[in-house]
Amino acid sequence: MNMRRVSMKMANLSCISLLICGCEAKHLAYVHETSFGLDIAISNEGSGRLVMGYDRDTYALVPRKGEGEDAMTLSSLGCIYASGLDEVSFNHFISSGEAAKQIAKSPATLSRLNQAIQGEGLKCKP
Amino acid sequence: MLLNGCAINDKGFVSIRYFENKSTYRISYESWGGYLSTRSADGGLTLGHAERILIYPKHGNQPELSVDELVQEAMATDLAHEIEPGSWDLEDAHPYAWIEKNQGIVFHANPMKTGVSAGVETRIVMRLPVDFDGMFVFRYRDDGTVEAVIHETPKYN
Repeated sequence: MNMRRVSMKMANLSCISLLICGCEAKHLAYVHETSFGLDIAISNEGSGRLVMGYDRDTYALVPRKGEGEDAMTLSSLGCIYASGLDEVSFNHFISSGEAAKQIAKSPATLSRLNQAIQGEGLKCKP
Repeated sequence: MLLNGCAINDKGFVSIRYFENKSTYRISYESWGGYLSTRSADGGLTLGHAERILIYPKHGNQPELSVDELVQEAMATDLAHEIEPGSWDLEDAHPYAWIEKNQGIVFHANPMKTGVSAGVETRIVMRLPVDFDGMFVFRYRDDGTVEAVIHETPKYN
């Protein structure tokens, strides 16, 4: 009887987790969000949230190219500088496909892109 | 709650500005009161103050570029200039990036977020289709500066 109760609880928790957590991504997504207050959300492409107060979240979703296939080919560089609720800088470079493969193989190209996105200081390059 | 006005997408009590550069269109919205968006990107209802900036790609015949040329485009500055409304039709278009700033109560109803929030929130989203092949550079500052460059590899049938 105890094992049965535990199994039912586990099944219920799994269902709740599936509802809160995102299902499989169908788009490539990069997200940065800040909230102050109350935030309750579920998502089909993203992460579920239950926030009371202050929260900052940054995440990326990389989908599969098709059923049973590998994930998208990507080379990306990002810079996010955030301070408090209002001050934010967001720089992002994304390449996919053949361009992504060639960029990934070239350290000099990656360095140039990094300089263009990140810059030298703490804040992202304007 | 007293609503100062209401708007649905680009109709009603909403301030809209249109911009474009070589490879993107940009629309900025600002609304007070009730703002209802039926776009798949930021669908939902905001009661309070809502700001949106949406970046759309200019689909068309883009030349095939080498990796060096792509990187040059990525590093170059291509600020958008303001244009007259109605210059292009984005009825069925999907933005590749958007920024949401909300103050008040928001009911989110879109693939990225379904739920409710109350308070102050900011979201920056880049969302590309799974068959995207090319390059996308996006820069945003909280002073409202937005730069976007999109180059999609030509698809030959």
